[in-house]
Amino acid sequence: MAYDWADTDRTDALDFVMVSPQNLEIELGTLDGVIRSSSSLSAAYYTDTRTSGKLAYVGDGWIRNSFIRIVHRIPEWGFRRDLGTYIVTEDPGTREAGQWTRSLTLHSVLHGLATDLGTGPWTVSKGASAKAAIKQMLETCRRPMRDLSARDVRVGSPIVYETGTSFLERLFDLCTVTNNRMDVNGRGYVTVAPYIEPSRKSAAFRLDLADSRGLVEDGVELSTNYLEMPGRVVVSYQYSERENNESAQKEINAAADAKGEQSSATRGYMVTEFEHLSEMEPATYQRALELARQKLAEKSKEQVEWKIKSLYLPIWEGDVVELYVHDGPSRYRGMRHCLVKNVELELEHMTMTLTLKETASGDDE
Amino acid sequence: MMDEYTLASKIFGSNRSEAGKQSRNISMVTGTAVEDSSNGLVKVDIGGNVTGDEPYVYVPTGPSVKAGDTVQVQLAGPVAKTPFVANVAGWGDRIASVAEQAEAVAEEAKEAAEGAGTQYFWQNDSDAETYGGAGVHVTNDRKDDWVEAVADDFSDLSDNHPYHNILINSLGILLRRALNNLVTITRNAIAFYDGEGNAASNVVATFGASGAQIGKSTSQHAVVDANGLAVYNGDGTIARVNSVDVVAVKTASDEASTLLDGMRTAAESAGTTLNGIYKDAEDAKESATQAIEDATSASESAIAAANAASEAKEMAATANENAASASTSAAQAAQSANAALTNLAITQDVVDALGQDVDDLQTHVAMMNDGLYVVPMNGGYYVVLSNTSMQVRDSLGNVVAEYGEGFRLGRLDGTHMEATGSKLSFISSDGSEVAYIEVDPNTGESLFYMTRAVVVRDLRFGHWKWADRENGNLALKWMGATS
Repeated sequence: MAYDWADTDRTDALDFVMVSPQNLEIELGTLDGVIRSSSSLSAAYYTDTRTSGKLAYVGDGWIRNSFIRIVHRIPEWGFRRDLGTYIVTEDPGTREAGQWTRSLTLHSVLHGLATDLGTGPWTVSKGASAKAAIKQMLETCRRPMRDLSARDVRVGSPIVYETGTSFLERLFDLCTVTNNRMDVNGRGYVTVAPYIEPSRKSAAFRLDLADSRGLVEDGVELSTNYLEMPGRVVVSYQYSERENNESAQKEINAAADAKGEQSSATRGYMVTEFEHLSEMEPATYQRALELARQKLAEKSKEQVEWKIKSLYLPIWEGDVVELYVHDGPSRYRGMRHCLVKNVELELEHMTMTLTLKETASGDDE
Repeated sequence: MMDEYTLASKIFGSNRSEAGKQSRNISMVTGTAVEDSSNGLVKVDIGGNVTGDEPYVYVPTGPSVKAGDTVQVQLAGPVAKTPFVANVAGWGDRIASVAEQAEAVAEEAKEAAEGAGTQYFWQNDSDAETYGGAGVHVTNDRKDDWVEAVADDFSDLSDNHPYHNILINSLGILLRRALNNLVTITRNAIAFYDGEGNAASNVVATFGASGAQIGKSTSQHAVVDANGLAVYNGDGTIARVNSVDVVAVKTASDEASTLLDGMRTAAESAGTTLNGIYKDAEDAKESATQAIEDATSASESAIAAANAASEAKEMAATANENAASASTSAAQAAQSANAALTNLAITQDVVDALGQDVDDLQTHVAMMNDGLYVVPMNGGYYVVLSNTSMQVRDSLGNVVAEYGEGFRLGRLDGTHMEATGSKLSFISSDGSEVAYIEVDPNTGESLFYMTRAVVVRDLRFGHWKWADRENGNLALKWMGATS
């Protein structure tokens, strides 16, 4: 069903539900006295725990250790959406005029994987399923996995995760191995889904800066790093080699030069980035040159970001939107296909600050 | 079109943010080899969790590893580490031991080489007693010195005495200790001696064209010749093995093997039975454990129930007290009521009659789950009032009429009439709608629709009438402007 999100006559109701940490389907009660003006949620595509927030409430209603689920409802539309289910990581309190106010810091359940460090090594044998390892690790951490048709690979050679590394670190690595992306849904379940480059995702919303009844408020920020993009990347590798029973210090340097706008020929000056490698295999000039070209390519994608304020939209980090820009520098006009990189949702007026990163900039932080 | 940077990105791999954030580093863990290494791999138990078919992992190894060795596994990589056995505890000692052995052998070889020292070649033509034969001699003393030493101290045959020599002549080559043969190479055979003398009884082995003998003839020895292999005691043959004997031995061996197989099968069967017994015991243990857990759970529930009962008892006691108090109040109220009744001079009969009427009313008006039931005292049709409708039902509970937003007259399974806000329908017992009245959405007129109709007498359209005439004809008749 299509909703008119520009309709400001609707009622945005929020429920703050306390949920059992052991079973996310068991609701322990509703947290009353929430001060919405002091509460907000944020989500960021490139952070480890994906989403976090803060919540202030009056009284002593929070059941210790319970998770908090924030549910958005629009009764007249019959609309309901779980904005997020969070672990409480801090709960300081203040007393003013005889009244206690508690400020809860919220983090997604992925935070619980970051604090869970392996008490022993974890080995994935040659030929074993990497997805099975992901599932086993999540079960060990008491977080059931929501498998959204995630990809799987058989490990070609054994891999070991050391004692003391966090399960979040291990799981992210296994997701890289399997080309999946781990995230958390609004209900608080850890999801594992095939990784899709943002440039290949379809837009969930169309945001037109010129739409008079539009969702976007006035005040748009544009930022780009094209002036910082290197015109040259130098890779340097120093190593020692034994010759005639004597250790000789050697060095390989290779430079890759950019063409076009970021080149010194256009700029009139050179912006060089120097990268010292701690290891390189094989230790040859050709390999160093390859790496220099690779790094130059990585740094040659212009990072274009837009920051806008909008009315509430049911979008979250990782979603993709189409942003229509009608004025400003001609280079940046027209339809901009953007990844929702950051979301800041303030709960009092249900307005959002969105950081949109153009998908043509690649999927690098 | 793809620009060169995009192309390079495609060639060198994804630039996905989560990949390759951290630099590579190297660390070590300790494990235990489960098996001997083979083909550059060794199965290692490094503890912790393992995702795979077995709780061990095959790791490439540099050093050779024996089962049970403690190995140092090098882990290299940013997050996911690639394991490699870089060292084995005790490997240095093991290598050192081998090296020491090699060094000792080398030392002995060196000493032997040094001991060989300067060699002297000399010749004699006769005097077999002195030289043990004529021919060319190789000794490590000069001829005279050697002869003197042998003559003086022949009883001292210690290893380091320079008695060893070689005599070469037309009969063969003799390797000797002083004058006693050690090895003789002649035209017919190679013979090995015990170094104690040159008699036939000193020969410990011979290899010749006609056969070979191992062992002295005066003790147990074996002879291989054209007849086969024979084993002798010093005083005669004790066994002889030839092709026939081998077949017999093989047959006996096969029979023994069959017997052993039978015994092994029996043992395996016994093992299987034991495994079954063990499994049953494990199952029984598991069941017992479960039963204990269930009992514990039941016990906890019972304790909880007891606590609840105790609380209930306390509440009941409180309620009892309240009831007693209420009873007292009620009694007082009753006294007051009686007094009032007396004062009002209402007789008990009147009260009883009223009570009976109230009972009757309670009997025939009841609130059920689906509504309020109003039932006549003598049965028959009754009424059910609910939030959405009022139904009239017959004595069997069939709805014969229903009034809500619309209404229905007649049973649902019989011919009946239904009305909604905009439509009135006539429905036959088979559920088909035979006629209805409805507003035409185009004209706004209320119209009466019939599927099939029989007009018994006549049918009028305004001032016109279709009529069934007595003569069997159908007539259209003008009824007049005022009719």
